[in-house]
Amino acid sequence: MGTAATRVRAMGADVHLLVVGGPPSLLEEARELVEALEARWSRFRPDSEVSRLNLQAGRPVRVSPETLTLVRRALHGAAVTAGRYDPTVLGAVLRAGYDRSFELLPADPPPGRSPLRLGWRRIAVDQARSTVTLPPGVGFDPGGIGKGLAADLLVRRLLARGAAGACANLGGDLRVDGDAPAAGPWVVDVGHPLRREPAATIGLRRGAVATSSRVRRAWGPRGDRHHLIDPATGHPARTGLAAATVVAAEGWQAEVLAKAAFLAGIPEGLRLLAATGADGLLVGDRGSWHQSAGFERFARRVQERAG
Amino acid sequence: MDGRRRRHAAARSRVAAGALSVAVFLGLGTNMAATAAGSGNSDTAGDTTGATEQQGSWSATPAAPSQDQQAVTSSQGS
Repeated sequence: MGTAATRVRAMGADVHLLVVGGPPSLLEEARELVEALEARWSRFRPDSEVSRLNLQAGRPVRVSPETLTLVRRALHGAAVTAGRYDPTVLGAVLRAGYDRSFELLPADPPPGRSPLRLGWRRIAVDQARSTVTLPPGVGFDPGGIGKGLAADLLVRRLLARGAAGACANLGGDLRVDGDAPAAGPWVVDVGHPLRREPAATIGLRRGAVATSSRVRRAWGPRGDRHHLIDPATGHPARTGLAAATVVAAEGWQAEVLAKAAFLAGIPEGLRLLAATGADGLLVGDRGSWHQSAGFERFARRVQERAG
Repeated sequence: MDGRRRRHAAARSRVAAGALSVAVFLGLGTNMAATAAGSGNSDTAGDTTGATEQQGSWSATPAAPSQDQQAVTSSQGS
């Protein structure tokens, strides 16, 4: 069975799509879906549904089924992680200087100003009317969960259209399902935050992988300002971790847990993974290695365990 | 003594937060957000992910690769 692949740039990330079998039009269809989701979810596009939500906070805003799902997933993720993952850190992200697409961000942007505050518990979702209401003064930032959910939607669409297997990878938030390109499982390298070589190579029949790293999307002269904002402090988190990788059933779940585990640090991050049934690998600031009890079931080799 | 009280209070707070998150994960939560968000693993009218995994676990399906299998993609971090 043939495999088709393409790489595009979308959602501020490198997107890697792989399709096993199915009609040749599938990759083009997938590209169109990525672009459509970015048009709905980008906080940098004034006409996106997310921008409309933020501009019209305090009033119900009618949104597409995909955006309704995005908000519901974000709220569920916040509830499961007791708010460690918080989709309303937009104000803190802006105050940290991340006010435009990362490619356009200067090397050392000045701190921004924003009156937006936290408030995920007061977001209202009306399933019947397909509306979302943000509390006044609260901003919604889909960020990574948008990429994870997009990976889920892409793989589901590709399988529904006749693919035997599919992989959608949006900047490291990836989902796989169905037949892999070669016999055996889907094989994925997990990047090491401090080294060139992968931290591990993992295999899975179906599921998702996401990595949150403070060395990516970092700025400032020492690179100590980054996008992983701790809702408890409103500042880029310092938890002793350089990166957290999570393997979960779905892309949005892996993304929520990777961010929450990173923010929780060790050992709370591992306890969070255990509570949800997910697995993962946490790499400390100096390369220390901390993995969930079940991570070995996925891993072929481990590059570094010193710590 | 005050320091010990504070540490005990902080420990109780962490335990409570952990218990809450586990309860919400298992679908026992009743707060507004959890209700609005619904189950993370259920297919509903507005659910466009096609999520059909069993309630109660976010586990992927593992299959450790053999030594000769090459990675087809990578998770570098975002």
